[in-house]
Amino acid sequence: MSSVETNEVATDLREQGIVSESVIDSLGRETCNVEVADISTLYADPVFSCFLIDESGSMEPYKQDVIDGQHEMLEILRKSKKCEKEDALFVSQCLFSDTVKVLNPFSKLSPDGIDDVIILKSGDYYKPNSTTALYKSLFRLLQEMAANIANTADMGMASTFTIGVITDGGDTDGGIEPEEIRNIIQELLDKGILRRSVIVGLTNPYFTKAKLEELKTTLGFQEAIGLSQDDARAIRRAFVLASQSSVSGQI
Amino acid sequence: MVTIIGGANYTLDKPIKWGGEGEIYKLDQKSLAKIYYPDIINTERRLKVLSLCTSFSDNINHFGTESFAFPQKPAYEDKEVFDRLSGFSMSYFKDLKRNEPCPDIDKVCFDLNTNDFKRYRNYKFDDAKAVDLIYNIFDVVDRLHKSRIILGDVNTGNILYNQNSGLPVIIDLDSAQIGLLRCLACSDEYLDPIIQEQGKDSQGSYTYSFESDIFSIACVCYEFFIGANPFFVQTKPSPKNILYNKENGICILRFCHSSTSVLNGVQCLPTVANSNIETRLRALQAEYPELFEFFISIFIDNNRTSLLHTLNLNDPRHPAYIFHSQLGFDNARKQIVEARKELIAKHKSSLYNVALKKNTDSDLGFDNARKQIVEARKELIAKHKSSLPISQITQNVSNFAPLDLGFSKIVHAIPVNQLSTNYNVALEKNNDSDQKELAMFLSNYGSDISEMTGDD
Repeated sequence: MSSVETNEVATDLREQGIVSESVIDSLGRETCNVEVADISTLYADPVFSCFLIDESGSMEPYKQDVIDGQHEMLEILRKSKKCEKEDALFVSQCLFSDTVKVLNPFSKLSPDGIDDVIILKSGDYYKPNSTTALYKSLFRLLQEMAANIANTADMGMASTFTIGVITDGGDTDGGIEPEEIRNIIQELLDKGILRRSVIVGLTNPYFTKAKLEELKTTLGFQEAIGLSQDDARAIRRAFVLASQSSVSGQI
Repeated sequence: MVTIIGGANYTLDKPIKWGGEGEIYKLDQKSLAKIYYPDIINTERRLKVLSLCTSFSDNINHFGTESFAFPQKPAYEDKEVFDRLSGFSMSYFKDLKRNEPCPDIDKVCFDLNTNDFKRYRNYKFDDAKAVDLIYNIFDVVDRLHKSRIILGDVNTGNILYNQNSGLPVIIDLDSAQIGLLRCLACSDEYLDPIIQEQGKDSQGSYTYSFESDIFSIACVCYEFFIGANPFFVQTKPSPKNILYNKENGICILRFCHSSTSVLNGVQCLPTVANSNIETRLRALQAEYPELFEFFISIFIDNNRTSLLHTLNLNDPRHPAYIFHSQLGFDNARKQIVEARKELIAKHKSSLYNVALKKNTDSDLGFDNARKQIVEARKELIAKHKSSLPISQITQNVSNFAPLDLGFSKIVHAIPVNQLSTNYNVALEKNNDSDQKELAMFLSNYGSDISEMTGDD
């Protein structure tokens, strides 16, 4: 794994002509250091799966569900063809509250579990607290994606990405205009770079299914799934869907 | 929630496998259940499951139980009514010696990282066994095709390997396209680009064909033997994913076949991955050229002929083998060859036997032999124009002509009185007739003739 400045990424993307100038300008506006995955010897197009997990204070009641669900989701991903057979599934996980906590940057997921992908239940990682900086977190993630798009193209391969957001509410921090995120996501979807985008919403009286749908539309996501906590199979199905978005029906 | 299958109640809690359409649960040592996701199951699927379960007995009587996982009994949630139908039971394919589930061929395929086949438990393929399995996969698919069953959704996860029997097992047969029952699933990576180009029907599904199965199975077998999808290649400029490459015929095999690194402005990069795939392809070409050529025919020449049909007719794996060997065609062929040999022996000293001998010894040679015969015939005519009796000439002509090619019959069919007045014209005309007949004969039995001349 190596790191790269986002302004260097912008230069590479410009040369490669993969995304538009407006997207490059957006992503390169705030310079920061992002990590790129090691893709030196792959025998299949890599898939990069990003998971953003809400760690704001309101998630406290769902803490154990998230920890268990994340584990189950990774287990499903490990059994996917992209991971098990092609060895080309990379996972990035972030926890977000008022700040973004990168659990792990894009790391190759191993079928046998020997990898750098963090399992929440393996330590005291998940501590819900504070507010929901969803937009900032998403923007940071898009910058990381851009760096890996450029790096993969440089190796003569096409990369695809999936984003899964698990949250119990909308953004409370601002800092980034949601239209900017939506425009980037829309272009990545149009170009087939972003394959799936799903928000798994833990609905409650303050975050209804209607609000979940509204958030989906605001961010330009393709799918929103409301969790029903009464049916264990439905919850599992939601996590299966979130993980399936990474491997597109090839589990 | 209780799942009712064949009158028995099950509590299905932990799936052993997830698929694009549903979850797989273990019922007992011999049976599994596939339960569709709630958003996947609909009236059409329910009707299809019921239809397949109804014909289960016929299916196993016809196809046996070794290589096919047909839906057996419908599964219902809580109540045995149509609207609660959620899936079905099927056989659990296991390695009986080890009491372990049969692996997908994904788990035992070639691994380019280690340059060897993957080890599953204590088993590992070698090239020879892998090639055998590939022929067996085409064989089981051929059996389905003969019963008008089209797999449609083919991928590496739908084919298991049973180490016990050494045979492949086709699963997910609930997806198959059978008559009016549509295939509702699709694996984009293996989908025939011709079907993709035709597009989906008004109900949103593809109409698959026997040929599209051949393409998809070829992809799966290539991936099993080589270790990467046929359309994975690292290229510049603007690298594309395998779906784009498939649609546009960009594959590493094409670069290998043409021995160039740039085709139509696309450069195959000199990366470790590309190089390892090429090395593996070269090994296939050296060891099993017929399989290599088959992949060329599918992925480059865009043919859709089954691997089995590329085999020699005398090979028991060829679908026409029984017709060819058991119904007398082969015997007739042998008789022709024997008769020809006798002729050669009989006229050893004759000038024309040189031509016949050459014909017999050459690989294809038929056309050359024909030309020699014609030349010899002309010489004969010139030499004996006024001295040899007509009967002697016709005898000579019929002697040097191969028995079943019609030369002798044509000559004998010409009335003697015509020959006596204008035999040169008749013989010249005979040449023309021969060519037409030859063309017709060769179009029907050309491959057999080439075999005859090759074999004998």
